[in-house]
Amino acid sequence: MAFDAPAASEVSYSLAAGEVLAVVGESGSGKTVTAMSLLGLLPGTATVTGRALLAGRDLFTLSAGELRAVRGGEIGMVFQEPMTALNPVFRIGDQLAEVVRAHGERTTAQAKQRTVELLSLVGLPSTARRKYPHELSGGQLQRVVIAMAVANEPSLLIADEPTTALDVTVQAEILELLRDLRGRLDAAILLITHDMGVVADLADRVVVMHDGRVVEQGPVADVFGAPEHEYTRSLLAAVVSLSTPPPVDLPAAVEVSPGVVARGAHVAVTEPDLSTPDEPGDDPVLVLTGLSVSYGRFRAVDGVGLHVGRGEVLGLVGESGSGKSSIAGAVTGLVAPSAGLVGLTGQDLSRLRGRALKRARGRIGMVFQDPASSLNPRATIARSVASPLLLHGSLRGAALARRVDELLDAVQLSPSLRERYPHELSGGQRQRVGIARAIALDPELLIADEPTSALDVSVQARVLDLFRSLQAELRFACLFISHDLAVVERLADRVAVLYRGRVVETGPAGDVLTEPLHPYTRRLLAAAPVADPVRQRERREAWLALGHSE
Amino acid sequence: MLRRDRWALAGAITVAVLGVAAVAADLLTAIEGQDPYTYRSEVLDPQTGGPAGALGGVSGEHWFGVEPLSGRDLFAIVVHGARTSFLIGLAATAVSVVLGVLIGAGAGYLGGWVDRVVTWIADVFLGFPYLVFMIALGAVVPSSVSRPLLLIVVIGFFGWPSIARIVRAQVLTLKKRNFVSAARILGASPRQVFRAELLPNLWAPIIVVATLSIPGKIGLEAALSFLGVGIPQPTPSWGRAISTAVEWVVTDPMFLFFPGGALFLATWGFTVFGDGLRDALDPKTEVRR
Repeated sequence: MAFDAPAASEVSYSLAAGEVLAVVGESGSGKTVTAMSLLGLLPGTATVTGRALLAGRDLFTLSAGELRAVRGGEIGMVFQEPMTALNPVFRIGDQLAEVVRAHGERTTAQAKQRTVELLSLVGLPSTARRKYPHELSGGQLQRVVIAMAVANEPSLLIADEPTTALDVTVQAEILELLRDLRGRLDAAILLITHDMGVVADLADRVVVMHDGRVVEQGPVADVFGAPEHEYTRSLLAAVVSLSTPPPVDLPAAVEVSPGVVARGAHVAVTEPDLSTPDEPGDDPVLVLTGLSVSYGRFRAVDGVGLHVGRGEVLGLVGESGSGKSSIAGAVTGLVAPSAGLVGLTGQDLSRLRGRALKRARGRIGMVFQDPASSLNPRATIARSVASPLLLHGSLRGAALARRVDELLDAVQLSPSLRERYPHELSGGQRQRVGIARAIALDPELLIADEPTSALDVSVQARVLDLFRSLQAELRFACLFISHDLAVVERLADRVAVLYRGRVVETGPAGDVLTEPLHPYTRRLLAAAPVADPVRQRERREAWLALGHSE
Repeated sequence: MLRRDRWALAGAITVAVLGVAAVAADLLTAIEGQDPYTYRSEVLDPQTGGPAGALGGVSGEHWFGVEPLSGRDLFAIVVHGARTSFLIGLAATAVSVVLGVLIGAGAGYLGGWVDRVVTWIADVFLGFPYLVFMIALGAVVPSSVSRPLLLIVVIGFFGWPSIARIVRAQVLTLKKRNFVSAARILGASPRQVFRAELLPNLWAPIIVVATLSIPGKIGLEAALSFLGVGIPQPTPSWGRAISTAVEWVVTDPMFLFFPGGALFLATWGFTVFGDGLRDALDPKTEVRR
């Protein structure tokens, strides 16, 4: 396989019926390119050499017509983003029926019968047939995509990052579905992922790819238990996993007010429609009081009270739609709260205007999730880092350049990158630039919205370390937003769990993440996979025991 | 980039040649020994009033021949006409770009009712019978107002909606990018966000639409002059030359050929050059080889 430079070379692996083979590697390692070549879905500029045998037939030698029969027939494909894999203007049932009929001579009635069967196979009610894609949730859509992939009983199912776009609780359910299907259909599953926890959960064997080459392969337990290759070792070491809590006997939580239980500083709600009460201590940096954010009639955030003390890191945990980004938006001023107060060091931000508001804004730094879009593509790195200083400071000329160099140095970037443009940098470097910009004004409050979730595993660990050392040095208060409990565990002093726009549990990080009080937090914790096949099996059983219905 | 796209290169060369001719019109006519204003009855056929000699009077003295009835030098008219066309085409485009960028960026960035009103007005303008309007305006406005200036302002003014639409769409997508949010979070004013974050990302599409809109404006000026409400006598103009030439097309086809050919080359050149620019600046489109 070759573009200008080979994207993958001398890759060989095999898998048997009923087996799950995971191909892992970081972005650019060639894992997806290799799988796409099997389906003939590479761009026209790519050339492929070698052989890919499916039940004895070489896929690379097939004509376009034969390949079409193989796609969706003998090979099924599950994509990363279920929303874009389905056509938004057709009903689910019609799209499924089309796949069924494309590969078999079935009458309309038979095709309809088959779509109902397929929907029940993936755990969806037959009424889903009449729905349009936008009427289903991400997890339900991914089930539909899986139903399409297995519609013609393929002998090979290729799943390219099938759960990356999904929430962790939904991810656990989809993984459970794939495990179930593997047993029932006797299909081989080629799982492409960067998530070691997913591998530990589902795969029998694993292939580790790096720079287009296979560096190691073998049974998951062997590779994860005793990695032989240097790269595999570093990759596994970089994985941020939840720690295993030592079993301790804690006193039971007591009811402190109607619907609220507490165990020391650890507070949770027991009734729906409640948020945990908040008691900001002396001189907090950020206080949210009764904050609500509405979009039309939908309440994204509903009466939330939170505070972040000086030098404290508050981990705000929640899944998509829980309202965590709306809270960040309300603090940064991008979203107007519909009710409640946002207090920054005693000032109510919503009452400030003009110069005073601008000055207050300068005391908040923000790190975004996607480093690619958070930097102006037409501005140099130095210009991006300097932009807060130009807006707020009086530094100009050589003094400004010196400060930019200092900041680049603080985030461990070489000052030689000053005149580069964002597209010339790697994802990790771009995120460091984003952090340098956020700390440029030495802010009192830093908001980090999923700062590591768009990064590769090894980069993620390094950026987290940088973040932690900067926080220890500069002592800014930090609102750290993440869906990844393991990341939050590494950084946060306190954790607040957000569920459907309300804080359902809050307390010291150690307590909340090891002995959760609220059932949702428990489900969230149990659903997060860890990169250890043995521990993951125990966790999976615990998760199944909890039940995953809401 | 132009080396890889031969059509765009041909367009660029055509535009450059015409541009040089327009700038150096005085020099070129001086070399020829003519000017576009002098009436010369000695080069006309006294019987018909048409040019004496073959091919509309093309000779070493009159490179493109002469104008019937007046005997003015046609080469001088064409190169000085290029000056008129380019001046009005470029200046009107500049007016359109300034208006279009400010209005489009304002609508896209501010959103809300500003956006709704601007979109509505742009739609009205795009469907407006502006040619009729301009003819009427040409008749109403007193002749003391400079005609080239009037043409620039009117043609430029009616050109803003197409540019505003593209800029607005671009701003809408840029606005969702986090670097714009980052600037807003820091308390940057809309003006600062526009100058520092948006504008640098807008140049490429602006240059492309501007280039592609120049031929339309040159054509519009020619059309208005053709209809007699554009550039008045004696300033040379392609459109008015073509208008006169139509009456002579049977007896003197070369009189139509030279100004018509110049107008065709100018619009064609700008169009393929603009197409090439778009291909070069937008990596998503494939370049023709």
